[in-house]
Amino acid sequence: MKKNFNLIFGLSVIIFLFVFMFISLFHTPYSPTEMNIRERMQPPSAEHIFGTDQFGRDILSRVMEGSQTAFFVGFVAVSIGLIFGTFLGAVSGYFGGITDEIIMRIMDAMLAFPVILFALMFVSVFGVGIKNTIIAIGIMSVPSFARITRSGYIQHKQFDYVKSAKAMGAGPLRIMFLHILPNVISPIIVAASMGFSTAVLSEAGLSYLGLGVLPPSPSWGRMLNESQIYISKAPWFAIIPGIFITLTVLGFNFFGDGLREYADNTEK
Amino acid sequence: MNNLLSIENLNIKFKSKKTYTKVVTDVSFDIKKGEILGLVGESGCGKTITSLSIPGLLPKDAIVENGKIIFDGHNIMDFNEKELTEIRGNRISFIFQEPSTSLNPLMPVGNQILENIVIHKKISKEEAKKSVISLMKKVGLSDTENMYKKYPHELSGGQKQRIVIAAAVSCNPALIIADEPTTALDVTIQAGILELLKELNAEYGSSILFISHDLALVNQMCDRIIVMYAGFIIEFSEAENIISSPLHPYTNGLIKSIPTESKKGKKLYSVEGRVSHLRENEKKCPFASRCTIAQDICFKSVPELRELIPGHFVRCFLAKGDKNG
Repeated sequence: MKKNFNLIFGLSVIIFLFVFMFISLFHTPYSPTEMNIRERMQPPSAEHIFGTDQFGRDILSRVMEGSQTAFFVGFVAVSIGLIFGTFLGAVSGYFGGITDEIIMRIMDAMLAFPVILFALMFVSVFGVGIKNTIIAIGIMSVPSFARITRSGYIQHKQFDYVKSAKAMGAGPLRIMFLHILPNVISPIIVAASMGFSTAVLSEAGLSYLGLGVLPPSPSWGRMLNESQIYISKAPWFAIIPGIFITLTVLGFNFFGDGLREYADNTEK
Repeated sequence: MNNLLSIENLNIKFKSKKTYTKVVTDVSFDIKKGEILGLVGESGCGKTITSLSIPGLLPKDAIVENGKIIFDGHNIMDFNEKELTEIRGNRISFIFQEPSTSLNPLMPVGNQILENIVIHKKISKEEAKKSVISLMKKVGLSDTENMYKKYPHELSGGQKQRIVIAAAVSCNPALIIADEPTTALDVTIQAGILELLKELNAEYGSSILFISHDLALVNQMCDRIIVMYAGFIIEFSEAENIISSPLHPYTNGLIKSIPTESKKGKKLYSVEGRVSHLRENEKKCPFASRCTIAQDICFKSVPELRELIPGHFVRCFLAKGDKNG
């Protein structure tokens, strides 16, 4: 069997980030919120591996704490998209006809809307904060799940095993979620992995604009925002959170690609 | 009444762009309790559509014009979806042609039998599981405990078809519709499956509507045979009558084309031409263009299904009671 580079690479990155996040739940080298003006904007050193920021806070600790936000936002937003998107896509694909038309046109309209713009609107109406950020990102990831699920259902609903389930007297809900769903789940999982990276990126973008996670809890996006005026004096302040955002996005994208490859190979 | 199911004047057509194609025309027959009724015809003659219409499983673009399907004293045509799902799998169950695709590839085979029971009966999982195991034994599967957890791809074609049959008989249905249940199987396995169906028929008293394109096979299995052609029933009688003294030229052609010992080495007879469905309101015998004895009248109007000899129906102007075809 050929080695699946994408899968292995993606998975290693994800595991690394996860461990990183997990450790931060119990221990960070310094307190991520404790200021120390005397040590402000120190370059990376043995004491502060990633240096310190404009208030003398340890960047490593803040990045670690920020990974919690990233994982939390990614996980919850993807779950929202996954649950609602899969349900809508299943209903739409299985029943077809007018139901399908209505649901999919709404999804199309949502897809035509830029994620960030919608999130901006949502947050300005309902207020800034991590909860609203997650809801906004979650809502915007519904259409992509719905479309992927729908195409799987359209293909599978004409298969014989669905007909024989119908002939057994199984109702539509049973057929949709007990019979068809396990058969179409793999592209949905791939989409979830990809969606995770999009969610992390959106959260970083929103926080960068000051509309995401509220201070003092650290977020990679807001760290980028805070660092921009010091970029020539303390480049590490911007680079470190940037690297972590990139790493997360890359990790989940590679993982998603790898999963797709794996699923394609096993299905053949 | 002795009839479990009677179909009266069933007409089904499909819409294609502007024209309608009639796939089932004026089909009427009945199935007695405990009977095995054969439905024979070549591909596309409407036998599957007829059978799908019984538990209301027709594709969405099929249009049922008129007709009644009376099952156990009720017209199924009047049933709503909920009432239909109560009948499906419970009172009327299906065995499909291709066992490898009619099982869900991602569900253990035991669970697929279990499902049929769980849907229709309110019994505990353990009880249901026990009856699944005994059903699996009944349909001739061995090592049932292990096989229960296996997935369809781990079983052979014959084993899979036995699973499908076990699911079909799990609620002790009044009618089993077997749509070419052995076509996808080897000849030796075929014999075993047919034997099993006969046994189940004798034991449970379920009627079977046995659909096939193989007249010889149907003759072995069935009490009575319906021959369909281009959506019409063209002949309907006791199995032995059909085989020994067919009245319709098409049936005659089919029988001539069954390979037997005496025909060894000779060129096998075949009915020339292809099936052509009638357009709506077209007035001629559906078989006329392929018929060897067709006369003017055959191209002018559609023949009625008439009872030429008591219990022997035929749809042909030229058929006579005393001689073949």
